[in-house]
Amino acid sequence: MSIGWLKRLFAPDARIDIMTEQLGELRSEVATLGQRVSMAERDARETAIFEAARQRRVAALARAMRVIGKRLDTLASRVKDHDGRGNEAGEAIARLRASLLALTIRVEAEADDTRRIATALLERIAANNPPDQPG
Amino acid sequence: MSTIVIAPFSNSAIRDWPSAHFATLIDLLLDRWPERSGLIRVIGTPGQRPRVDSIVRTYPADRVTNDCGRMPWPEVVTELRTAACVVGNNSGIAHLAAFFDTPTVCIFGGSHQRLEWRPIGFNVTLLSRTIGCSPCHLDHGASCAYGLACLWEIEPGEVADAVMAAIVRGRTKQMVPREAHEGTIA
Repeated sequence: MSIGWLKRLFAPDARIDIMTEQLGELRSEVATLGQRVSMAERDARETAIFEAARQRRVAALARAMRVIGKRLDTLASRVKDHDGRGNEAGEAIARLRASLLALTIRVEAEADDTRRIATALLERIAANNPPDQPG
Repeated sequence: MSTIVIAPFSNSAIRDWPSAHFATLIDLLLDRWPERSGLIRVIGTPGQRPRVDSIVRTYPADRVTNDCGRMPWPEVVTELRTAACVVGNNSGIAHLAAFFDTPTVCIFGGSHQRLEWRPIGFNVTLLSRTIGCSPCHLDHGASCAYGLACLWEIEPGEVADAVMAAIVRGRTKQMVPREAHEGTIA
């Protein structure tokens, strides 16, 4: 998606210009997040990264995503005020939302300690090698 | 009939809600959990049995049982799957119950990031207090300079309310709204 065409489309309106610029920033932030998620996934697969450190990175990603999600919400509500000329921008925001949602699902899967802990515990119980401490 | 399962001890004292609060919680639940509904079972390891005895000794044995060391793990798993509600600290038991989508109330101390380590499930209520020193990442209760204030400040009445609400949601198959995971945190 080109930001230039959005700028041309909304050139007469300075507020739309600002929103378009913000949209561009968000797009690049979502792209950066995508790279960070890929790195976290690769680390989880390929390297023996210290678990707590991995969890901290996943939590940081989740926080960044919440911030971006809120900024997208704000932007979407402002675009709505410019109905008509804001349609294109609205569609672009919807696409960014979809990207963000896809990333969020990947991050949540990484952060799901419950699944990891429960699965490990059930495997040990099935193998008749449970931990002494149920905690 | 189903049971309320309580796992009062984790493998780190810094994550354990005070025993006195657990005793008060049982007291409150006995009033609100009718006898015909089922038992309150307190579970743990054989080594935790004396500590649990001190929690349950004043309650009628036909309503509250100390099952520490009496239930093999497969039986614990079955109990967690079928319980009306499971109450635990930030521990494997709470994670396991959440994994089974059993109504779960997790009393989460301030030592760790709750958003990072909370149990995730269909019907999990997380009760936590964020105070200035949280998260401290300490491993031992004795190291806490503030006497585990983050856990003492979670009142038994609040936990009892959460348990009863979780049971109702479990019966009606309602999911805890996502924001409630954080909304129930004071």
